[in-house]
Amino acid sequence: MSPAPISKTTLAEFYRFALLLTGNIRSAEQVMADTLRDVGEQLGELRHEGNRQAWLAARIRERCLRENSGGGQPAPRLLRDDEADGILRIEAFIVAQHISTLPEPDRSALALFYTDLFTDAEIAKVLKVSVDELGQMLSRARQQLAEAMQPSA
Amino acid sequence: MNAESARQLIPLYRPGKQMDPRVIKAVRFAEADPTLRDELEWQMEFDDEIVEVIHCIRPPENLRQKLDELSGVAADANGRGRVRLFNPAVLSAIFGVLLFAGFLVYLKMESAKDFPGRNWAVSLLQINDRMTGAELEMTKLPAGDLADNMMLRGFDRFTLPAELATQPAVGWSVFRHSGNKVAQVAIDRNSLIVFVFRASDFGVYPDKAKGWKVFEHERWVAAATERDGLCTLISFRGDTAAMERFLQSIKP
Repeated sequence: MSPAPISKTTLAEFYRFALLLTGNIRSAEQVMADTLRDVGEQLGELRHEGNRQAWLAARIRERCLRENSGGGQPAPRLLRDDEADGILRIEAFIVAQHISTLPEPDRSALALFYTDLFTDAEIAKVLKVSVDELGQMLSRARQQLAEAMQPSA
Repeated sequence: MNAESARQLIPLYRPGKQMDPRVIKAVRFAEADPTLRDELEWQMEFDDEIVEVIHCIRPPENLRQKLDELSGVAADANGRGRVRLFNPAVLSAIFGVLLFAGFLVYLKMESAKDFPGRNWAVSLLQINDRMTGAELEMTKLPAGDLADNMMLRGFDRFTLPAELATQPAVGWSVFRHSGNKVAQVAIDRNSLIVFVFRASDFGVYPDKAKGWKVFEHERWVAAATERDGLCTLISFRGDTAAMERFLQSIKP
């Protein structure tokens, strides 16, 4: 059977993934737009839903890392100008910013783990590591994130 | 399994998700080990908090349209002033686009055989495979009378289609899937597992006019229906014919 269109919920998960990797909305949206344009060009080669999502995740990750490698412009717009619904939203973007500053590949591992797109084995495949290595990355990333989120004394 | 190997696998633990059997073993080992148990509990609490917060990140309402616009702007900027319409390369590209458009139409026709959000419905069925029964609170209430229990666990306005409401339940739970609350009920008859969730949370929209949309996934057969914004997904081990017999038997 041919692949189903990307659902709104799946698209939202990819958007979260891009935001966690870049730490800012503008880059996340641009990365998503560029990647989805490529999906249009390569759709015929991506017949299976799982492969399609893994391919998308890998492409989004590549672009996010390229965006971040420019350096010098961290998180210019953490909050949307047009939205202001409460503390949780602010916390969400603070978490995104913290995750976006973790070193690679731990950052990607944690971002994929916390978005709801893949099993552990699939994440390992996207990152081209073994499941055991993924466990080590997640352990390190959690510790670093927890430390980064500690209120400073 | 020893403490060291368990410690390496515990970071992979995500309750409610499909996992390597070694991870499940590691978690069982950790639950019996005071030090590892503390580490596991810290990890689970930490993950719960982060996941809850991350799922507050909502994409723009018109994400797809916005992405299309951004994508168009980028393409325009790259191509402006360089494109000549009658260049053979451009004509080939246009022909390619037309072919691609035809392919998209074909895909759309194919996807019409399905329903929006089917992949999320399938992801819920996959939870069935990992269930041990320990996740459920026991009950003897009719399934339709569990609204208060669900509400106390954070799932508001739980209702079931009338044809299911009188079925005696044996267990229930509320859990998060992709950050969204899902109510789950186990019914003794046919060892039926029922999932109830807001259709908009997952974009699962079976065709209302057709009542129950029946589909199979691996060893499971499922039927989904959406009523008043709530999607009900029922499932058991079997095939389409068995599900159709079951649906016939509960018709009011």
